[in-house]
Amino acid sequence: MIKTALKSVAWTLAFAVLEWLAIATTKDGTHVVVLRPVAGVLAGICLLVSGRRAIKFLVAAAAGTTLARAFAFGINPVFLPIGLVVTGCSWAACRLTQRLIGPRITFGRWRESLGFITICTLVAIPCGFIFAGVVRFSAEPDFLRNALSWSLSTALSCSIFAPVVVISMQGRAGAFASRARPLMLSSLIMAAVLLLCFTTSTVPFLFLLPIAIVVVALIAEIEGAALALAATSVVALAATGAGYGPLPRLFESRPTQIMVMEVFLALLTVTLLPVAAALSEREKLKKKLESAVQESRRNAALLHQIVDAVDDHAIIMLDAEGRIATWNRGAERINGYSADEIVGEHIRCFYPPDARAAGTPERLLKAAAESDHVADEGWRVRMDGSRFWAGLSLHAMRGAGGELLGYSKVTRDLTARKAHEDALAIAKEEAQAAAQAKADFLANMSHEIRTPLTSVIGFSDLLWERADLDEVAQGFVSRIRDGSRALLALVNDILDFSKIESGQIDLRPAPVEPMLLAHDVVQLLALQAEEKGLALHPVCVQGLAGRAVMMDAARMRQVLINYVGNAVKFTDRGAVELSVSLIEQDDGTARLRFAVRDTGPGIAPDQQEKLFHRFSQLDSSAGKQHGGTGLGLAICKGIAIAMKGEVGVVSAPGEGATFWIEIPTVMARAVPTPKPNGAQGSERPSLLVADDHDVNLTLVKMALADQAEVTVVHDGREAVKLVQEKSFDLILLDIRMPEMGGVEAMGEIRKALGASAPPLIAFTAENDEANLESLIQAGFDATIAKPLSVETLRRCVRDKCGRAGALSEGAGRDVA
Amino acid sequence: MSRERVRRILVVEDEDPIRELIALRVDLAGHHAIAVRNGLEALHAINQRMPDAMILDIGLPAMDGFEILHAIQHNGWTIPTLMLTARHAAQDVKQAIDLGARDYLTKPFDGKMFLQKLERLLQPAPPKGAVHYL
Repeated sequence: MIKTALKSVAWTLAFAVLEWLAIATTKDGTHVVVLRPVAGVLAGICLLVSGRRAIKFLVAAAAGTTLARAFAFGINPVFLPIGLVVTGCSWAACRLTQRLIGPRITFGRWRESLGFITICTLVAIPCGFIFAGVVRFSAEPDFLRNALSWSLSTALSCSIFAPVVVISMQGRAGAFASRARPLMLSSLIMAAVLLLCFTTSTVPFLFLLPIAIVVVALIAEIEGAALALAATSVVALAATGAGYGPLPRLFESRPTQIMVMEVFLALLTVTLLPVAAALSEREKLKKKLESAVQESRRNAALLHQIVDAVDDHAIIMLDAEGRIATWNRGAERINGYSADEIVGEHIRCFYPPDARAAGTPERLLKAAAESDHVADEGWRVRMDGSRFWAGLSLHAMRGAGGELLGYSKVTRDLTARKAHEDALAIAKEEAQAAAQAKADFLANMSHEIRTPLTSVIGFSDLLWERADLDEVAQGFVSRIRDGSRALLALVNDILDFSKIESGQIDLRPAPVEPMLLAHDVVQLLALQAEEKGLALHPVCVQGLAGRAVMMDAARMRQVLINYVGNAVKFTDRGAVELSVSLIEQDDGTARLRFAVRDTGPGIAPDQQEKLFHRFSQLDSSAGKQHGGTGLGLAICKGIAIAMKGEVGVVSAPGEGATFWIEIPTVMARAVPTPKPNGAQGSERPSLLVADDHDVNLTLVKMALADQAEVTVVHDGREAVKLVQEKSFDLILLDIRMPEMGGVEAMGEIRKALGASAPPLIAFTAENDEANLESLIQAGFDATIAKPLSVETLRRCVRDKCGRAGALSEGAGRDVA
Repeated sequence: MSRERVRRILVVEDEDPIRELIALRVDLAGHHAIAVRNGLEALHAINQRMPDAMILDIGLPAMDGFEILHAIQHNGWTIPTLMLTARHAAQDVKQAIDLGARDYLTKPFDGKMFLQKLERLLQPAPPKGAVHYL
């Protein structure tokens, strides 16, 4: 606070001294002082500082003026209004300039300088009349003269001092320190010229001043010129006031001398400042340009060095027509030409004659010009006529206006890679051909082996069926039959394996219910398991029943039969379990997993890896004991891979084993089950199934879940009881049941329901013609042979509950 | 139905032992086998007297099984046919069914299975109320 106050006082005193000096210089004795440095300095300050901060200076200037006048002329009440008018005039002129010309005035242009002078003059005239009006009441009665001289002197003072203040304040003060020499030189020149001008009164050397200031501007730029002008103004006015220089000889009155000098100085300022600004700007630009040119030369040299040093890529520039403009070491190495030999030639010369004739190079340039960049590979010709395989990238280069300047081209010699690729392709083709030949050979051989094998199997079967063979002969025939069947299995496996190896495995994905597939497999091997006293179960993980996925059912069945067959073969007591689960992923795909767990001897970890390799059975003794080709698991793995899935085993010795297969699959919308036609179309038929085997009951439920309402019972007696309580559309009865068999139950049902009895169907494992016929004779409407197959069940329900006659659909299918 | 009447089964197979084997099976089942070795003989036999069923090999010299089926279709004959294939090839089976074959059997075959299929072949349409789902 005190600091601010002290500053204000200092400024007030500074303004007072300035005003007093002006009064002393003019030495007129009137109140009309023709020199007004305070107005000029204040105008400069007002141009530099913003509105509110200027108030401080305005007050200081008004106070300083009043003080100086009181000191010079004695106390007079008009001095305060005079001070206010002086400061107000400067302030108004500055604000008007900023409004009309621009917020930041640098006096570097004619427009700014002339505009400022014009505005100062226009503002000064009304101020001059106010001043004249004020002083009229005190001492100076000549109103018009006072008004005009005041106006003129104010305008001139502003024009002289304001630009000098602005430029000095804006000038980088630090810049002067680093340029002591030009500053010293300028000072010497100015001192000499000023001395010459104002010590001689006979010759008007004033014309030297503008020349000197221009020289200073050249040496010390605009800041130097501004200082020179300031010095000139002070010296000229002081000298003139003191009676030196040429003017006192020309004009009598001191105010006139001062006024003329002011006009001269104002003209100097407004003309020379823009000149100085232009000069110094030009100097600056020149320096900038020089450094920019140097920089770009350095960069270009560096880039050239880098490009030239690249010797595995040909990096060249082409002009807009496709002629070579630059050439690097890589280009020389790859193409064989030196820069002298090739620059100026068209890139056509690198192309083989046929490509040249076809216009390939021109097409490439055109494509690059159209799309800015093309990449290409092809044969090119070296200087010595040899060919190489080139990989190239061509970029169009464009000017600021988008016009085509030329192209940059980077070429690599890819001959080695090309040769490698070609060799690889040939090797691959050869390998494929060899694999194909092998697969064909195996397929042919297996076909050829089949024919004699048909005889062996067929005739040994015939022999076996003969009743008149003795025991020894029967034993021999039995060996032949077993051997021939083993041979057939081997042939089948080899054919499958060769298909898998040559990638010819042909998958036919269709919607399949995995659960039904599992049931089918379990049914197929149930007898084998039963003979060994093993429990064999299918297990469904929650949520999968009734859902279909896309997969090749036949191939998956093959895998599962293999797994379950092995499990039954190698397990002596306990159980085998086939589980199905679906791991759904977020993206709508799913992984289907089948796993077969057994309670067999288990497999040591180091043996597990070998399992899925071809012709591997864990030990030869096991092979002898259990038979088999050793190809089964390799085939499973091949099928899994063809399905983009995986196989594996989890086991430890003594803890059984779990063989699994996992395949990615897509959920099918629904199994395309033909709906029963006719009146029952919308209403699902109700079914009663009696069987003592849970496996069969589950299968029936599964198979018919979307076709019918299925009720299951475990015995004939229960079935008979239930049909009297509830009506069914179809009844399926197993022939062998513990309490009451199928035939007996059928009889009871017919007795109880009479003509209203629904169709009755028998399940039987003894599916020879005579037995089936006898069942029909006994009163069944139809028979279904065991093992049950899903397709058969569905067909039967469709026939009996829907419209009859859809039987032919199943012709040709493997229904057994 | 007259189960007493002897059924005439045409066997077309070029391999002697297999033809013999099939003929033997057919005869043992109480039917009468007419065994021929190629398409021409087959068509000649059919022309002489229409068989009740036919066992037809696919791979035959000169005229293969498909061509024989085609010729039969072309003449407007209807003969229940069981195709014999050396290997279950889905494409072959489909083509044979499309050409009018009723069923197929893969070589080498099981005697029991062969007889089941043959009996089914001989029943023109399952009589009402007596359907065997095998």
